[in-house]
Amino acid sequence: MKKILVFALSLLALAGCSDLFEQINRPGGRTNDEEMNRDGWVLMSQIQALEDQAFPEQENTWQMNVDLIGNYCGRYMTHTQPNWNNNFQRMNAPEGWAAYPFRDCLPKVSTAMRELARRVEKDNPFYCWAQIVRAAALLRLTDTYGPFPISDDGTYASQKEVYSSLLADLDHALGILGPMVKADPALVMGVAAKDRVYGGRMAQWVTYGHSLRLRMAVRMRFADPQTAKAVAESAVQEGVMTANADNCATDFQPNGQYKTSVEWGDSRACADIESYLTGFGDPRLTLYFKPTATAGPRAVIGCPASATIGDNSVAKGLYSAANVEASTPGVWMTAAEMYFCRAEGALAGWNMGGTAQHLYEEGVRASFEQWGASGIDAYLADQTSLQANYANADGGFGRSAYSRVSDITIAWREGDTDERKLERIITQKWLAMFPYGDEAWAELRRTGYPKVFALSPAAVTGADVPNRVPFDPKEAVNNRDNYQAALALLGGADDYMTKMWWQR
Amino acid sequence: MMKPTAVRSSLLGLLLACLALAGQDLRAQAPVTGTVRDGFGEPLIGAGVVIAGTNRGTTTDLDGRYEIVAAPDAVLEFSYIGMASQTVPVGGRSVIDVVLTEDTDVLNEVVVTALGIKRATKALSYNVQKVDSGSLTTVKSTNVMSSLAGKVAGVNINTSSAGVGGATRVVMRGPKSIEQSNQALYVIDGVPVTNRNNGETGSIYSNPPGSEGIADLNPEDIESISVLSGPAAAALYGSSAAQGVIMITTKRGREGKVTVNLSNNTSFSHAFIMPEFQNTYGNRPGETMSWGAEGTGTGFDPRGFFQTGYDIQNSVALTTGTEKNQTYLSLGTDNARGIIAGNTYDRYNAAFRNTTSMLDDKLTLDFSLSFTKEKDANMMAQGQYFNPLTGLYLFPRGEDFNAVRTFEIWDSSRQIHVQNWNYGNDLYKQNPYWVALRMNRTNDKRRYMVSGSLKYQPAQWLDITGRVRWDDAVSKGENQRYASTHTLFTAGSPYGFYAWTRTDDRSFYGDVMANVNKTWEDFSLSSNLGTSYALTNYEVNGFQGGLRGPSNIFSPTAIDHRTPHNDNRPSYTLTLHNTIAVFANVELGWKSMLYLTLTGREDWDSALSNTSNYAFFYPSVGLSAILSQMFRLPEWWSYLKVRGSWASVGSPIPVNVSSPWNWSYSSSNYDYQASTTKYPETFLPERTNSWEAGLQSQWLGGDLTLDATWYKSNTYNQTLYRPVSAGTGYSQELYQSGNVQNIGLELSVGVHKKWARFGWDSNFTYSMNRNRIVTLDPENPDKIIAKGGLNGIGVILKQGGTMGDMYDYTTFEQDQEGNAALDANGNIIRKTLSDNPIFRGSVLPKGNLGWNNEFTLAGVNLGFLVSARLGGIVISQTQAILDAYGVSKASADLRAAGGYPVNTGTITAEQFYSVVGGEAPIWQNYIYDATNVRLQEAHIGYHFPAKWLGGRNLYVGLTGNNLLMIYKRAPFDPESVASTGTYYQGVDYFMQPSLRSFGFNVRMKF
Repeated sequence: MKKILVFALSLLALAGCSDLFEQINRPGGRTNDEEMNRDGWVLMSQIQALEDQAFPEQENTWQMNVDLIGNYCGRYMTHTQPNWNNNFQRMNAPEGWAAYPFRDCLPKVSTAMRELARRVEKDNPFYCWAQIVRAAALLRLTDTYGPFPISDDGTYASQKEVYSSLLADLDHALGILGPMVKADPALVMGVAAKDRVYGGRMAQWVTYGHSLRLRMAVRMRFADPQTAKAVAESAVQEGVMTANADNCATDFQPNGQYKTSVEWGDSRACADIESYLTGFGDPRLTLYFKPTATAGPRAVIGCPASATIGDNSVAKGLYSAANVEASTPGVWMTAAEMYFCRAEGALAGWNMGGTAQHLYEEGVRASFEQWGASGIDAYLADQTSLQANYANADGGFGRSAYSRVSDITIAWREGDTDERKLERIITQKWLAMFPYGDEAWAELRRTGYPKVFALSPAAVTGADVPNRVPFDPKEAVNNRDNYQAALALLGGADDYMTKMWWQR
Repeated sequence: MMKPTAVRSSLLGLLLACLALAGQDLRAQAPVTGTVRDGFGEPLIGAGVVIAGTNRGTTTDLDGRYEIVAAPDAVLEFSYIGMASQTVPVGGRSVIDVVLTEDTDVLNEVVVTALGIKRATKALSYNVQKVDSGSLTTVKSTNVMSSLAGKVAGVNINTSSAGVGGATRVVMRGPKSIEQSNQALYVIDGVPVTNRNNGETGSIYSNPPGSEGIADLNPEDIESISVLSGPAAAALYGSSAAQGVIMITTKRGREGKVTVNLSNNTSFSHAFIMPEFQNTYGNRPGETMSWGAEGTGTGFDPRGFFQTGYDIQNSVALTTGTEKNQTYLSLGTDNARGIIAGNTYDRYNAAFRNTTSMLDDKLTLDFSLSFTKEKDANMMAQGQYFNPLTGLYLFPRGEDFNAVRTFEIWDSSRQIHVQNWNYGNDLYKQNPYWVALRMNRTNDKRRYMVSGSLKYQPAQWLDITGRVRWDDAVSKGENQRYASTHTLFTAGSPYGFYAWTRTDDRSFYGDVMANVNKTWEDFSLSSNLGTSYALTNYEVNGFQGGLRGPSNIFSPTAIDHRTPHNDNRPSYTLTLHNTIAVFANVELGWKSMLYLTLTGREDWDSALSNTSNYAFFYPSVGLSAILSQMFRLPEWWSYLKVRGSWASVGSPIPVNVSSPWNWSYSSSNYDYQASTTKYPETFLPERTNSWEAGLQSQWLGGDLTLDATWYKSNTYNQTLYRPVSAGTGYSQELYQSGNVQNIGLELSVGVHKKWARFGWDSNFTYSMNRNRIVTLDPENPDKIIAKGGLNGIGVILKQGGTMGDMYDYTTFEQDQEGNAALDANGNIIRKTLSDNPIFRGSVLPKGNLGWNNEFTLAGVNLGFLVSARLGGIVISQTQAILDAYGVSKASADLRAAGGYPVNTGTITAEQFYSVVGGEAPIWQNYIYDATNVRLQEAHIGYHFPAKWLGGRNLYVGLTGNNLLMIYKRAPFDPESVASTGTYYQGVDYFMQPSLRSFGFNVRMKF
């Protein structure tokens, strides 16, 4: 009937085509601005779009943004595909892989912010909320590439400028949301169900925002100690995550790691994390990883990073998959991480509301609690366990054995040097932040901890851990002048080895 | 058989019929009788018989008989539409039988042009090529368009490698549009039809392609096809016509007794060009690549996997009619299977057409109804994901393939059959039989077309015609993947996967036209004025997802709907498009030797809604001069015409681009998303301006013909997606710019000679086209647009290039002496050139040749078609991967030669191909010249004399297709295409081999 009407109308419509044509030229299954405004949907839709980039759990974005890059370079996981010998570990990843986070995430982040800016003022609480989520997304991107375009005009900002800009945005957002939450701690904003992280509970978002500031402060502490200290102390003062209930976890389904590791079989445990967990007798070993499908010398076996794989169907069986279900929430920041950040801050002499030892132990404790692991007290008292020597699975790929590379122990020893204390904090922090590998890789680059096995075969650069991912090579064509300027800001070659601003 | 120009004149016949009714001559003496027949002995009904020098005459009856009273010294003139007239002196005889032969006199030819308007060939200012039904029905294929390949100049026709039922790629005078379709427009009996072409694929991960709407036609219902290759010819069709038009004229009933045509075409096919394999070196234990010792091979030959395909087409057609009412009725069946198990194509056609004239022939009603039921299954063109050929071609050569022939085994605990495959899952290989038979894709379509035309002719010089067509195709697509299929393809479900879609593809077209034909002394006017309305409605509904369990329940309720996401999701598309137009066409003639044609059309197009201007106008102008009438030419130079035209054809921007409904649903995050594309302030319609000049010549009374056309077209204001830096906050920018130029030549030379019982018809066509991107982005001349390809190689569009330029991002790392450098392990190094890829050539052909011959001797006819493509390149990743897996003949040859020589000695074939071949090859090894020459078609047949069979006609023939590859460099058939889209051409990634077929056909008429 509708079609007949459309037909009849359009026959009469030569003179007044335009309105009718607009109805005809309307694609099914799409919406327009007016429709998106209903139920306050459009604002929440942008918050959700930003969350999808800040916490990219969808399987393809997960794989391209986190699994291939942070998880492999951060030595949580490694690949098991025979055709993936060009990868980030070996620092020769295909252009499409290297450019993906930049090409895919940034336009989506910018578009969401643009759509919000079209509708609300910058002081609107929704805009402030979006600024927090955007900061999380852009932090991951700048920590991947270095200098980064943040002003939507194609120009790159130095990494230091990116950090200060994001911190300023967080200050602005938290300056507005903080008092709102103080006045109404139970404040829920927007369509609660669309916020997959905190269900619109703004008190938790404010806590997350300050936690993000602390993450950034610790990251920049070698590059800009004064700002780092000020930001960190202010963040702790305002309140960072202290309970696992505040963890940033998205209930996006299916879990990205479930797809890449369990379902697709692209990713398996890396030998590094397996050797630490095995050596420490860490109960999290079997909580993080499944027993191997093919029985081997140990229940959980990791695969050496950079190993050349002969047959995926063999490798999938020899090495351990991540122990996740499709419904497992993806975790992107934890109370444990915050305790470790504070422990490191305390070590640096910052006012972190506790001693380094106390905060370190709280961090391990929070992680055990988060994973439902038992035996925390014995674990924290363990003064002898070391990283295990690694032995490959029978018929495994890559080097057959590695000797341990670290002699760090678990229990805090106040008499240790600061450097050894840092290694202890970061090693445990690294173990606790699983499975968010981008942070793991950042810690490896920033502190050199945990100590990891040498790649075999070696990467083209000879290094074991890349310092960054090269810019999108298409930038040299599509954005030439700005790309040249970015190279100057980078202060080194546009390759895997030029250091981040915050690396010491 | 093919002619450069077209339909025969009815003018002479009409004239004679009028004369026949005129007065009596008193000198008439004796009655003369006889029969008028055509070359096949068929009686000609309604042929004119006139006494020369008088206006007295008669017409033949239903048996072709006439009777006329004439003086013994009189001369009789016999004439019939489409036949050469004959004059026969009576010479005192009382019985005169006459055989009329086909008219090759171009002066009186009439051709069907745009909108079904019939015009004199001599007045045309552009090239029209006609193919008659014989050329389309002798050597048949499931898609009638495949039969047109090589027979028309200026048209490139490529058949998809998808197997039986596959779509075709029909591109005329080069690709013009960068983002929009470059496929020709199809027109049936003057009315455009929607040709939904599902033959497009874009990458190695793409879903397999489907068929296309035009393949629904029963070739037997086609009377003839006219090809309007240039925009000037097509200008009256408006926006869709810039890419050229294929005009299909269907059969209608004929006056006379009931005639029944029966036909059967049966052909059997097998793989034509296959890669060259080795089977002497097996695999080392525990490996899936075949790099084992010599002599360990099991002698496996992948050819054994392919079955003999067949294609059986039957048709029965009935025509009957009186002077006032003619009826055509036909039924057709086409049952085919491909060379890969599971690939089938079944089509059933019914067509009815009735033509009635009323009110003293002032009103003519033409009504037709056709119904098509088509079911196709498991078309597969190429790629990694749904392709049995990866598992087949790469099968480890030391293993026993018989073990995988039992492709499924009973799992007693699950109570289902599960896949039997233990030879690696790299490239997502699975058991080839499983992929072919347990990952089923079917499409079941029912299509109705109803059309009617009413013509009212109040005066001899005026008629008003109205036409409508309703076309409704409903199809159900299903995708059934059985439990134990690799979970990448089952949305992770261990129970299997199911997808269903219901596609409703409807279109309505209506027009009204007033046609004026008037002559004043030296001047003639032929003019049309009309308006048209077209609405298309394309709707897809469905759902796909992993099964919830139990296994292998393939119904919409069995899908796991709980969490819609990327793999479990609804499919929904609704696209409407409406065009309203007014158009006019004026042809002015002077002394039947000089013609000026002007056309204009204004379109109001819904695709341009929400832009500053939703209407656009485009004109054309053309001039045709019959020099052979203006000047005295030598006797042997029978005919010479020159023509020239200019046209400006617009086309709208892609549908829905400018719509404010631009928040699209994303199943991956289960919400509507804002577009990350930057849009311009407003849009302009795309525009193609073209020039065309040609000449048409005949010598020796039409024994020798030449038709030549030169053209140049420029397509402006293209709607392009321009890559932008993500740093601008957008992923891409839609902008309008560009100027794509095509310059080319179309040439056809014909011989049409009859010596008593022997006849030779030969037609040679040559076309060349030079495609050039004159500008892509004037603000930014260095701008490039990458258009996909394979890993490390792809098409890049840039100013000064063509739309098929292939750039290679890979090369050998060289040492200081320029030799291949080696790494620490002694391996060759693949170097990636991300900023500066190397141009390797264009996938577009430089030229195409076709040479079609038809010999007749008494009742025997023999024909063959040789076709050639000149220039261009193709690339084969199949070969690269076969090399890396050690299963290619090349890999065995290199092993036999002791390895690949390098500076330091040699490296093994395995070392060499592990870097040079494979998924990320060094491409220069796998780029081939696409030039090829083949014997494309051949047939021989015999017309049994009608008198042997009591007046019935019987023809029996043998046919062959793709019989012989005379010259080729690529390791696959370069004319076989993976995709019918503009890009992803010349790319082989485990493409299905093209087919060679042999068959026979039988035709009977009584």
